[in-house]
Amino acid sequence: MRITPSLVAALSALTLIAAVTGVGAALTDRLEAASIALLYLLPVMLVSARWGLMAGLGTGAVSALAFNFFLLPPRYTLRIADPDNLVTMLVLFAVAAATSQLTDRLRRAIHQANLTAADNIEIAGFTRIVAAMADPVAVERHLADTFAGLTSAGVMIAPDEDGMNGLDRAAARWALAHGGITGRGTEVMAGADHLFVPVAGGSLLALSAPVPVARRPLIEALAVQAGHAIERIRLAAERQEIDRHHEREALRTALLSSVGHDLRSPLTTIIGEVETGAPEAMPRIAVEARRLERLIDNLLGMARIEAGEIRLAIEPIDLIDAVQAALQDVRDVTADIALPADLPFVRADPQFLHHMLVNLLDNARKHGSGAVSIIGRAVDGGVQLDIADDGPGLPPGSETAVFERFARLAGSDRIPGSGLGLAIVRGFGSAMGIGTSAGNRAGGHGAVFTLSFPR
Amino acid sequence: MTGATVLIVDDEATIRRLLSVVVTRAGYRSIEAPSGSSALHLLATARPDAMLIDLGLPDRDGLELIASVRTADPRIALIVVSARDATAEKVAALDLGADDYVTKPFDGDELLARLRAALRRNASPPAEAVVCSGSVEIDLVTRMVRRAGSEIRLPPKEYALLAELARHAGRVLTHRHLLEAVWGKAHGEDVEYLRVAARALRLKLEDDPARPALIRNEPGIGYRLMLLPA
Repeated sequence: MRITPSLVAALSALTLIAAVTGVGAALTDRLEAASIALLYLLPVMLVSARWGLMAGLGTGAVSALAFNFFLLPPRYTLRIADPDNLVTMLVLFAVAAATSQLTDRLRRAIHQANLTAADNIEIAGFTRIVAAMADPVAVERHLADTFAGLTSAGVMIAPDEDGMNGLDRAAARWALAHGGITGRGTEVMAGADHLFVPVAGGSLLALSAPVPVARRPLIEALAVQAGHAIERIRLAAERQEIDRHHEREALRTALLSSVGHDLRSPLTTIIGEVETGAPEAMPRIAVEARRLERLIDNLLGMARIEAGEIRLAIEPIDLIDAVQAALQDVRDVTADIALPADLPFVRADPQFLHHMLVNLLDNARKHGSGAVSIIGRAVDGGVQLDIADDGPGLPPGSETAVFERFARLAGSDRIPGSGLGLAIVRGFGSAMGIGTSAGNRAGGHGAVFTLSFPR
Repeated sequence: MTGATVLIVDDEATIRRLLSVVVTRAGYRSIEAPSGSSALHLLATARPDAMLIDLGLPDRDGLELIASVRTADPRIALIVVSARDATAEKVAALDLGADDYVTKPFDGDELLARLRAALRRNASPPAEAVVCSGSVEIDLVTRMVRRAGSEIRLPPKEYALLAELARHAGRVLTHRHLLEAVWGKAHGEDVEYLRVAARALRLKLEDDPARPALIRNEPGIGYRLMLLPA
């Protein structure tokens, strides 16, 4: 005889009922029949908790019969003499039925909760991994790997319709069209060779083996999570593209207005001065021409940063050299230089560093009287170089904004400049690992721009 | 070397005219070539003493032209006129034998100073034995260096660097040139050696070592010993 779960349940129920009947028989002299009847609730609860509703109801029925036959007078018959005892027996059966139903529901709830907790851990782990992914293909691959691990089925991503039989092809299409699990062993086209799981916003996964009904909610939940992840990646990419587009638009607009103005004003001066033909106009023409030159350098620099075309030739540089060369290019600056003779060399591309220093000196010249302090010092993390002017300083809170493209600070409208210079300082700096920061002089007038060179 | 003939090579007529005005005003004679091939032709027929070459010529690679001019005439003064951001190109031109460079847009005085220094290299008799710049005197024969009349004792490498710069006073020497001349062929890339020695020289020779006037660095290219008035 094969031992099946239902046989075990029946034998257990009968054993328990026999035990309760024995105990009940021993107590009939001392207790009311109704109290003894309550004892039978014990096997009903135990059986229904372990084996479910039907087993519980069966136990209730057999208990009622056993109670009637063995314990209710007249004993060893199924007749019931006292109407009170009839009520007791019916109540016993009703209570047994209700108890087994409740116990069964409890059992199911406990079982469900166990399954869901395990699934939830699986789903949470999966979600955490795909949330960090930036490529829909990677998400699909991870989903396929997870399915393979859970079901020991072979998993194909985006199966090729041409290689499918008719039923598989129909199941695949149905899965995509209706967004549900289809194919082998499911309610829809169960005869197909494969089980198809659609992924929202992505493609289709084909499993080579059926999935037990109990596993399907998990499989479906994982596919939904993967779909969310793919959707998120797609939206992020779209968003980035839109942002980039807006930024390009803004750049173009700002470039046109700012550069249009900045190119035109020195040109106006140059043409006007040349037309007067006065020899004393020559220095003014030269100044304006240099302004134009710097603007063009900055435009080219910004174009290089935008295009990501910065090829570096890093070498050890003596900041004394670099500052001297920059001062050669920005005239009309009186520099107060404090560069210690034992200042460590820094590593940078000499040409880009030169451009940064020229822009910082030019910025200092424009916003102050032309008196600039240049201070170098060795610090724990490397070398810092301050370039400080004696102008009005930076408005509080603008220490970062000042490095943005076209960030002409409020109140600086009458100072010529394209708003590119400091953006280039930051752009070239970050390409070379040189930190850039801005602030105001401690206890005095003027802004301080600091370059931080790593060791 | 007034009266020397300067060949101006540039494909833009306005730049040729401007350069021509600058050099003729300074007393040189100027001839012009709009292309590399006409430049090589004039080099053979007109025998100029100096050449100003724009590296961006339509018919020929500028660096190739430098190399062929240098091969054809080892003594001609060769100055490159180049865009600001073309550092690597300038270094390559100097390593191929150009004497110096100016950056577009150039300053007329600067251009003439470079031209004079380059022509002096080729003047015979060879360069003077004592080079003076500001308060510094460098005697290349006795290897004696003086600042404001008092002798400055220099370690061999520092002296070798100073002497190499002084022999080419007024001209830019590339990092590679200086490293190979002072430390040897194997050290052509060791820019840090050069930085250390240049800083040491400045501390001993410059009036204000934080504002070097005598030994001038050209970012990414090399060093130049400036010829300062006494």
